[in-house]
Amino acid sequence: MTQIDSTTLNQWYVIQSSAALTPSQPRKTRLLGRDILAVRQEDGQATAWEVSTKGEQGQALPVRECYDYVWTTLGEPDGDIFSMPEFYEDGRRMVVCGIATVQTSPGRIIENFLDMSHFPFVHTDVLGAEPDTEVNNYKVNLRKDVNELWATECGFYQPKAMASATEGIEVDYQYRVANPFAAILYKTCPDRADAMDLVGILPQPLDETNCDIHYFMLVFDDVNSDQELIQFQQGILMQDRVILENQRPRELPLQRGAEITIRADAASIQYRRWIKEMGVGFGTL
Amino acid sequence: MTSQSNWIPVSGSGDLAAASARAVVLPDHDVVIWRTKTGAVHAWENRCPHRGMRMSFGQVRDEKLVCRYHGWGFDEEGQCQNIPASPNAAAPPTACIKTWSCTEKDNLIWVDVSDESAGEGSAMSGDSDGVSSLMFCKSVYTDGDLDKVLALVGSARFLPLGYDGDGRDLDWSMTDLPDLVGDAIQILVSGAGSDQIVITGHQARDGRCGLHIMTPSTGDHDLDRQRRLHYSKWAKRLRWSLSNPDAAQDGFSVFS
Ligand code: FES
Ligand SMILES: [Fe+2]
Repeated sequence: MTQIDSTTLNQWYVIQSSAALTPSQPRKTRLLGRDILAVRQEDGQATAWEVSTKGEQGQALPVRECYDYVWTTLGEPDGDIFSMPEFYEDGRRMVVCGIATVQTSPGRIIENFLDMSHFPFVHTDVLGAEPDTEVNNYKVNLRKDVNELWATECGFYQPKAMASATEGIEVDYQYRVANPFAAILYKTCPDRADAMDLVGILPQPLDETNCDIHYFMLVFDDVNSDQELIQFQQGILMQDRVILENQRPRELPLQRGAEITIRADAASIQYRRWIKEMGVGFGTL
Repeated sequence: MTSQSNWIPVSGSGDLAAASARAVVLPDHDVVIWRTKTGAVHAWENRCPHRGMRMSFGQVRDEKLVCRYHGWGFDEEGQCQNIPASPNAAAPPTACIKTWSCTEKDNLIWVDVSDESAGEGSAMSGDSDGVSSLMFCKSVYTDGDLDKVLALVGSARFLPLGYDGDGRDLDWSMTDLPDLVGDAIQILVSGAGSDQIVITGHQARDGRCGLHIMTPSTGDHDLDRQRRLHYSKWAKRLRWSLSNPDAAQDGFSVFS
């Protein structure tokens, strides 16, 4: 692999959920093409280190536990893990959904997550349905102060927007790309008119075209069990996986004109431009 | 047609149903072949110009190939005609898929992915002298280079329909049949159950190739159906035998 760009290198990445990392269950995995091992020590401390090609314990890695996840980095992040105040709100449930292994680049994963126009075709009768295929104009802006990309005023008619939905509703969406490889969706909460539910995806890039996607929900929901919520979200992700693994190239093309774009792709266009400006070469072309 | 021709037999006609699409992997090209409801065949690059989705996952609707990801519909020329996310705007003219020449002959689908293939492609010449209309039986995929595999297949045991020996008492001869179906071989079996088998194929990728097994039609509908079934089974046995060379002692292998 060519040298990893500094933007990619200097990010925090989730490598396991806090609950799944127990002293008896270390996680041997990869991050940005390197072998690593995460271990929960007997005293409760989460640790991680690189593993050499010979299988020997290498350099210790910085580890944080945050939002019920274990994070590490191979570089030197400028700042902290992005803020997600909703995690601390009363009444919300954090539902860690698990890991989905998908053979594609992290950029393709984020871009698919930001895309509404596939709902009627990929999540038919759940997140969308023909003939309601039109994507209304929405706003995309780069919040320079926090270096985050937001898409707002997104609306879409959804037959079954969430696990608890019993009928179709016009759903309001906001997308937040908190760093090049972490995205959160805020969507109308079926139970509370004044609140939004969160769905987040945190791809752990194993290498340029393989990811373990850690995903979660952060919701007000008194109806569904964790298991029901997980099943719903898992079903959605499995539908996306068929798409993600059959896009060519697997890397995200950043050159202008490499792929045809329309106005509904505004989020994708801005995402590509943004990560290109940051010099993200990893998993891109 | 000569073996210098650019036409490659990629599939049996019967393996591509009306209003369906399928991927074909050639050494340097990812191809989607698809058939309209009324029967026309097309071969395109297997990649949607929007977000790179493989078009072979698409659906045929109103004689357009519709991409699985966002539903863009491409007409028979490969030009995008509708974009569901913006139903009131015209599709950009740049939203088109690279097309290659594609035709059907001898119950096979042929593709020409050469650079000259724009539009018409080279003419499909040659006639079926000496072999009456061929029926397609089955395609099998196996490891190996096409020419090596075809040479090997020439040493297989052929077990014609209705013949129930082990094949060892039959004589057969193998000839190249370049004028008929690309790099094809013709196998003439004589003896107790004389018959004729024609095998052609195409190189795929990663050292794999596809073989198409055919046999002449007798004109008798029921008999032809039985013969197709029979040689489809034989083709499966051939595939098993090719991938299990160590089992050549096993009576099931066509190389024993
Ligand atoms: S990728 Fe084909 S329509 Fe979007
Ligand atoms: Fe999706």
